[in-house]
Amino acid sequence: MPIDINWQLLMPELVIGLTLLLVLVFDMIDSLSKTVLGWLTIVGAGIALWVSVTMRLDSTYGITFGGMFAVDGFSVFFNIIFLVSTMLVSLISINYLRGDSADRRRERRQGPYYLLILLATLGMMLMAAGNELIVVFLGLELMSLSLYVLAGYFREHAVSSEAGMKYLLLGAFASAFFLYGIALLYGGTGTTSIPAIATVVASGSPSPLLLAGMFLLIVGFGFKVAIVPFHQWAPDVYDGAPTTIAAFISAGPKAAGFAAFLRIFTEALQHLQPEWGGVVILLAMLTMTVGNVLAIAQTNIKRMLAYSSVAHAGYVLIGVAAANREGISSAMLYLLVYCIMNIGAFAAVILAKTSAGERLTLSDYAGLGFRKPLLALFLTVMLLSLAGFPPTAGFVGKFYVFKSAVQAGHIWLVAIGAVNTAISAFYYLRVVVTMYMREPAGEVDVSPYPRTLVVGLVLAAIGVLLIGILPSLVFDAAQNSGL
Amino acid sequence: MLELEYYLILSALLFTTGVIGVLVRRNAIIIFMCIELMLNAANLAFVAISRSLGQTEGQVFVFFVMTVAAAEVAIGLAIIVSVFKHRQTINVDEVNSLKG
Amino acid sequence: MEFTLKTLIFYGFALLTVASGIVVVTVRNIVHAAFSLMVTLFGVAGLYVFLQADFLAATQVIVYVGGILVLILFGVMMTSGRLEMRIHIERGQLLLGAVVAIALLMLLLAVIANTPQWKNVADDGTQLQPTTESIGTLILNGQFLLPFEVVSVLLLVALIGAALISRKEVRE
Repeated sequence: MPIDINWQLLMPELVIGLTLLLVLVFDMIDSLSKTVLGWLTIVGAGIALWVSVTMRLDSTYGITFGGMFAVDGFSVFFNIIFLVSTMLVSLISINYLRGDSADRRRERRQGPYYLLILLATLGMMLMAAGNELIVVFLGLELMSLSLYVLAGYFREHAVSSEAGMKYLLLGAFASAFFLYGIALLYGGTGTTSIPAIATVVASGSPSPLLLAGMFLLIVGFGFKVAIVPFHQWAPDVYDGAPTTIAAFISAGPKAAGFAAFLRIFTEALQHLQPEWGGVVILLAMLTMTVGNVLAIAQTNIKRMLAYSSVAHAGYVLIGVAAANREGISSAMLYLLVYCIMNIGAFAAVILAKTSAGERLTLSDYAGLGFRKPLLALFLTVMLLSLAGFPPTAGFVGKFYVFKSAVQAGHIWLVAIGAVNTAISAFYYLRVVVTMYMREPAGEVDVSPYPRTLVVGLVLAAIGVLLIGILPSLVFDAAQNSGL
Repeated sequence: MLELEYYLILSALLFTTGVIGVLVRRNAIIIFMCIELMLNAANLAFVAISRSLGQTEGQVFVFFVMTVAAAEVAIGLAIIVSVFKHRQTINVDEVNSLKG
Repeated sequence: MEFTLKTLIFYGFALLTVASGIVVVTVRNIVHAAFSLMVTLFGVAGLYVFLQADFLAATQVIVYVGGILVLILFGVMMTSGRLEMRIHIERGQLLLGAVVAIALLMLLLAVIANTPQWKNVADDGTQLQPTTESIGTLILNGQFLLPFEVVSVLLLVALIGAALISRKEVRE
């Protein structure tokens, strides 16, 4: 029986695929500046974003490809998150990659960089829309394989290669757990289709095989989205990978991991919520607390952002633990906000670089507020948002997540979340204080701002403030997109 | 009479062996081999389950997993070799420019 | 369970697979580990035959043994140069690995033992049916078209990625 395919539902993926091919072809034209490829990526992702938003507004939803691919409010909303992240990251990459433009050889390798970013984006979109565990698994692998290579992109630097290797070994380990979990789920229910699993689970008492599979899936996801106690790779990889890729890994892929997690656990395994709810609450507490406490101890700003991103996964888990409609939509909103502000923070870190290299330790930021007031201002906005101060998007995200948890009756979880927010404010504000209150230690360094980086940072700041002041803009969209 | 149970026990043994290997061994290539063991264990479970259900879907799944494993090994070895060029070692504990 | 020749062969394959798997994990010499892995992969292929998955058994031998294992051996050659590689294992790590793994194994075995009503999967009197055709139909004509396309993209990633990382720089 030949299956019918509704191509209209696949438009965002097709646009990304077409962009991919164009980048591949243009990369072969030697006379063309490689910067064009970056712009092409941005334009392609932009068109896909526009298509996704249109689909969201027109509610062009449906299931296609023989029930394998589900386009619903949920997957379209996540597509928007991924595409926004991809655009921002490509934007800040254009100048970052040209940083040492004296190196012609590195210039030549920009083509694969954008190709892999697009391929990773495609993988994320498949993870969010996969209606069958195999599609989710393949999407996950597509994304992960691209990211392993991107983490090791600066192959002339040992740290970058090592980051790639560490990410690869732990990522493949996690994938194996994930796969075994799928196998046990298949054994427990006799199917790998998510709606069919939901039907089987709803119809009777769960087989032990199903519960073990669920446990293994949590371990696999835990590694992929860096939940404590599976987070150890994150700081090393963020530290060693190119900074733009650290921003990318911390944003889109984390959202994609949660997208698949939400789809599998709140749709397929919805009736097992009593079984997994407790585990998720425990993981949320652990993740927030350990992430924030370890972040305090960091003096390297990339590692600090890495631990802070671990902690932010904990806040998202609060929404997941609530597992009601509000919980899911608040987690989605939080992920969108988090992606924008985190990429913004990384962009500011790249912009703060001096001729000697990136400013990575905290003391490098002393006096930045006087030397580069505008940059310091933007970095402050990002850090305040990450800490969750009003009127930024970070506050809105936390507010809705906590609200959903209160509705679900998880008062203790909210209390721990609030304490953690206070802890996190300490290390975010420490950077701000260092920038404005401490005297600069070394020479004055005035280097011109790379243009696309500035544009990326300004866009992120606008996004953060806009969502912060007018939260209903996106919250309504998120609320209508829950599963 | 060979029941599904025996295949699943076998697959669990193989999977656990792989997990021990990843946790205990320090050589990146051996860790990779252990991950292959884990993938094979999962594949075995898929085939056995699909056989007991009388389906072919599980076998298709395994077919895809094999492709994924091949792609993973290709990229993995490229990265491992590039680390080796820098460090002259692929012992995970000695690869520590990144302080954990 | 009555001991027929068939069950004896099954146990032979099972023992071979697990034992060589354990050798992969424990042996010091990395080349020995790779060859031991080959035995495991062959053992799994044999079990596929038992499960009447003829196509997968052939693919297992071609892709895993013929492709992946050879690639791994190349990796061994390119990274060590010398064949011996002494590996020192710390006691703490060993302990942690053992505890985690035994806990996992216990969990899995308990689960498998507690799942009722296993169906008989072999020796049920049915003739061996070739599976190649039904797999091909499922992939190309039926519901598994999307994963098939995704897998092709995945191989593109492997191609681009491996080339990016290991391609020699062209001198200007």
